[in-house]
Amino acid sequence: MVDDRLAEIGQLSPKQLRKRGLEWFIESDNHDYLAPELIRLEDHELTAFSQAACELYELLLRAARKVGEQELWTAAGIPPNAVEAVDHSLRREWGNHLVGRFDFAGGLDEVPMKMLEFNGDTLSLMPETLSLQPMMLEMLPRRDRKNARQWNHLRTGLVKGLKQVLQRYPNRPATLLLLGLGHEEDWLNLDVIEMAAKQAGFEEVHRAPLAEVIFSEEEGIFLEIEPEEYLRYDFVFKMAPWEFIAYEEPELMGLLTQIIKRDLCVILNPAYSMLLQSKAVLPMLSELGLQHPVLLKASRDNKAFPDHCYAEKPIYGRTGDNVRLFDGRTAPVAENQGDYGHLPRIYQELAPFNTDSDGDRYQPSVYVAGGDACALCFRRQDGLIVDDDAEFVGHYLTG
Amino acid sequence: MRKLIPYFCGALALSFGLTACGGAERVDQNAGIVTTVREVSEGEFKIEDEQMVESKSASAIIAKYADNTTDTIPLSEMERMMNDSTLAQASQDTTHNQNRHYRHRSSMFSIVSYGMMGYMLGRSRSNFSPRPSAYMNQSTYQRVSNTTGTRFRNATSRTTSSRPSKGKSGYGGSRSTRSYGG
Repeated sequence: MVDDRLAEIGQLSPKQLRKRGLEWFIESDNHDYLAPELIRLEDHELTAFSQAACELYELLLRAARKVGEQELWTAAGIPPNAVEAVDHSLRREWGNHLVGRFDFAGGLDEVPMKMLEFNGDTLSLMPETLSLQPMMLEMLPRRDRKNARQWNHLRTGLVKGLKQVLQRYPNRPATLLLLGLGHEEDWLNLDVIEMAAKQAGFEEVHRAPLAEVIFSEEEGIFLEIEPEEYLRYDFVFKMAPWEFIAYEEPELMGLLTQIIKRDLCVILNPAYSMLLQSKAVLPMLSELGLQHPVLLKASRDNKAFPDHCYAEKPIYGRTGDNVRLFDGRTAPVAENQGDYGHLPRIYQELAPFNTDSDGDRYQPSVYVAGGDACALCFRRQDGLIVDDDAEFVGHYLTG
Repeated sequence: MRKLIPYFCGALALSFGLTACGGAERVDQNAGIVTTVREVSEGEFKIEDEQMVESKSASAIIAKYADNTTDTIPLSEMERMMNDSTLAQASQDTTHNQNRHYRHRSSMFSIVSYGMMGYMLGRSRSNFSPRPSAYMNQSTYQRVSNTTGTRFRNATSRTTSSRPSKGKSGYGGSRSTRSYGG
């Protein structure tokens, strides 16, 4: 039980949040999103998370390369219309991957650390991790605050990664377009990218919903800034997943493929990030000769789990959507609805979670940005599947 | 572990000066904002509209008072009044004869700064969001935010071009607005 690790901090001041434009995280449906506690870690536990994230990131990158070399696109869950882009991206854009987030189970006390998934294409929780966690740290009782620290270098990692991208393309104007699909949470996450981009040296950082962006396979990516006046962007960070584009907007997938093949724009996270995101790669890891003690057993076939204990997950999806958990009985012990039910599934060993005396399960997450593991945060769930109802929990270290 | 660098360099002070906060940010000199506010109750204002104008110096507040009179306060006057140390006293002084709505100016400026005017005048660009509660109602906020708000954020001094050949847009337009972040 993690109860002894929880320090009461109360609620963040709505006024402070409004000053920073972060009031969305406590309004309406989010009114109970931010946990009024911080969870304490020991240094060695943090080191274990950081090290695991680094090693797994390298492992997933190696897996992506092997999938490309052996052209195992179908097994890896790459839709046919995305193969050309992913293949090109592996060859010509290697190293452009900017940021991803690992979700783990366990890692504290006697519960072993296990990797649930890596969000390598699009991701959330950035503003909470980067901005809200430090505010929460300030709310520790004075006695605890004195020696309290957080492992929270997401901004440093993003700036490093974005600088690397700029250095790689020194002759391109440093203009960045942030693409969202319209959800407020996406804009708030893109705010974090914008802040890091400006610090990294991007001169112009603009944003637009996908519907307003103009794609030309001959000239690149544009916005109509004023009537009949168009601005071209040499870099784009999209908060729309590659598989969403491939499945739902195939014409756009074709345009983007031509755009990246013709070097008209650098798109982040690059197309090979699909291989970092796709859970179809997880069952392939052992087949590709890649092992790690933190990896859960995964298979394309639920017969690999004769005791009928497994998590069934679609190969792409938002946290918790369409996940079903089986604990040995025929019917699932937990099941979430979602938009991804039509996708292929994988089956993953069930992982134990750290819990508290309320029965809430704690899911640690580690960011990798600019190639470095750089920040930690937690969510906790009253229930078996971590989803939109989870609370955000900050962390701290002492001594 | 090294000490966390604060995300904000000090408190976000409301400044109506010409300089932007934060040395690394460029101030866009090209565009300005005209904000229309309406007095919804004694001394309380809400933003009714925001329009982008071609130059920053053309920025202004149009104030519509409860007694059906209207004021236009240009940028230069806003700056002068905010720098005027007697403004705080004036808000108490009901006999001020320069303008009988003078005493409401500080609450008006507060509300205006929660919208795009605040963005223009130097509140941190990377983390600024117009506050919905500063607007007349939610639909006003949505309308302004999706038009003027986005256009203003994207205003630039870079050279633009004509429409790209074979350019297509409108993708993802019919999707739900659920977040796709992982």
